[in-house]
Amino acid sequence: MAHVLVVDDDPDIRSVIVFALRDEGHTVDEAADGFEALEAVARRHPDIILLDVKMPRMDGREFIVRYRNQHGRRAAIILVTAARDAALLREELEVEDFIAKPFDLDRLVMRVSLIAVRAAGGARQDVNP
Amino acid sequence: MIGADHTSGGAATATLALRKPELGSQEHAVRFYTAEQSLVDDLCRELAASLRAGKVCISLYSPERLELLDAGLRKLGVNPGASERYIAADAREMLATCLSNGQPSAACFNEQIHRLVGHAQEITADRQPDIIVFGEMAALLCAEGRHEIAWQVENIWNDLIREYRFNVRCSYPIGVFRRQADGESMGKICGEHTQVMPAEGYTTLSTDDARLRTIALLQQKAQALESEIEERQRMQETLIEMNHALMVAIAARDEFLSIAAHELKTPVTSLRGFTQLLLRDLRQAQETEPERLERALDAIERQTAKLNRLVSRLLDISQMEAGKLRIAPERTDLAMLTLSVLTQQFGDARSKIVYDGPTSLEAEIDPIRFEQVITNLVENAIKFSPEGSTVTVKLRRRTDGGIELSVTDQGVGIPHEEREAVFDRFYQAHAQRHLSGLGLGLHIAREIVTMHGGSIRIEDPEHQGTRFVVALPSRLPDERHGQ
Repeated sequence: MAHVLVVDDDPDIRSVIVFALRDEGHTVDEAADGFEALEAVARRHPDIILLDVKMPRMDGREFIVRYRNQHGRRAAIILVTAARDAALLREELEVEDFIAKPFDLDRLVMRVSLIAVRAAGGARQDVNP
Repeated sequence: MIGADHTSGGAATATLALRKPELGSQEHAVRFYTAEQSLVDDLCRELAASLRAGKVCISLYSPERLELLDAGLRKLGVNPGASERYIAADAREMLATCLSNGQPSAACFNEQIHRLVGHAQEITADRQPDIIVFGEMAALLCAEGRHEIAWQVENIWNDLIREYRFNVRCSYPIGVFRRQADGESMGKICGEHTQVMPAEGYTTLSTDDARLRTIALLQQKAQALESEIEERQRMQETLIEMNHALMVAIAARDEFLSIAAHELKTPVTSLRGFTQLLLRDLRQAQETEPERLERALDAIERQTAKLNRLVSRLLDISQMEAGKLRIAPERTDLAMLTLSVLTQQFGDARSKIVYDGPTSLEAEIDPIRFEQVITNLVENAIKFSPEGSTVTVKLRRRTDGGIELSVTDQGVGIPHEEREAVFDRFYQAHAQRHLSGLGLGLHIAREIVTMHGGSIRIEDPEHQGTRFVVALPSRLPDERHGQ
């Protein structure tokens, strides 16, 4: 099981992801924007970060830059976004995966579990685009 | 601008056309034509007369034109094949030979003409035979748009005329100078000829009076064309401007659609997520904890309301755009309306809402639309305020009988230069802060207030923040009654 950080400014979206991932046995933390996410990372380092892009105060892009400056590529990042150009964003930001909103909860859980297994096996580079 | 350019261009062309080459008694004439047949007829007449007068005629034309001349000469009783003094050569071929890298070679032309003149000397047994060269080489170049090269070729011909002392008859279809800018090259080409004959129609006029009348008419036509060109140029500029404005409007609409799609996806994501969460529980025969069930239903309820609000705003804006939004004013207690909006919609807001006003205040307004104004203004105030700050809603009747409703927040405030723009359709203040919303709330609020004959302005409160002030007149403008 993995430790997952869910970052989204919408409390309802955050909450539904947290419920589903905890059901699967993952440990889950929450953050409402990039600032809170950096604080959460400092408290307990996640294996996987589910990251919204458009957020107030500090958006997903800026979070990725700051996170990587501080921690490199320790956690796998999955964008969860309603942006039209999500696939391009994934390439540009060099993240492991992206999930388009509105997402299918089962598929989101599956993708997280898959990346969790790979992360545990230490073969995360294979998932890189 | 165009007029000035054109005038100076026209004057320059006229000066060029008035110049003449120095060729002594030799002629290098040019005639312009519009109808192919009239050219062929004229050429045949002159060729036949010249041949009968014992002159040597050299025809340098395209093979098609040479064939037409052959037929025309036969009709006039001259058999070109049988006449030694009629020499025909392919103008295209000579051009191909004498243009290297697209530039005319004077030496090559000289060589070709030297050969032809030598032949004429042989058959006439005359060291200085009377030769007329008929040709269209330069015109062929003009037809390909190579006006400058054509002019250089005419220049070379003048050197050849000086050396070999023959006469030349050139012809150009007037159509090769159809563009306004071709005036200058036509002027330059005329300047290389000793005689210029305008196209048929003009040359057939017999008296000077008829010519002067025709010139006057032509001048009018030229003037009219110039004005027409100016007019079209202006229209084209207007079109370009309109096109640009349209592109900007389309870009704004695309941007808005993209924002709207994003905004609509957010509640849909929660709705779908929580619905699937409950379905998962059900399918896995797992009992849903009451707390979880409540959280899910609560989210579904809230996000449905949000979705409904977004859709209503989109419908409102499309009605406003189409000019179809109407208000139905009626006697309403505005104080009661304000209080009910504040308690029902903002009871659990993250800002503290304070109402400062009477418990009752009669106004003639559309209660449903005005509720929207209050909701949008208070929502906006909360959105741009720090958590736990106070939003004050103040209502009062002015001494002149008008009504003032103000919403004051303790947020970051709106810079003076943006105060008008915040009411624009699709405008999103602090876009870089990624705050959600369609950017329509204030625009819709202002539209509704304006329809009530009122206005919205932005003021600076005593301390930090922003104050939106809605001012309504004591009574509605007449045209609003009965709608």
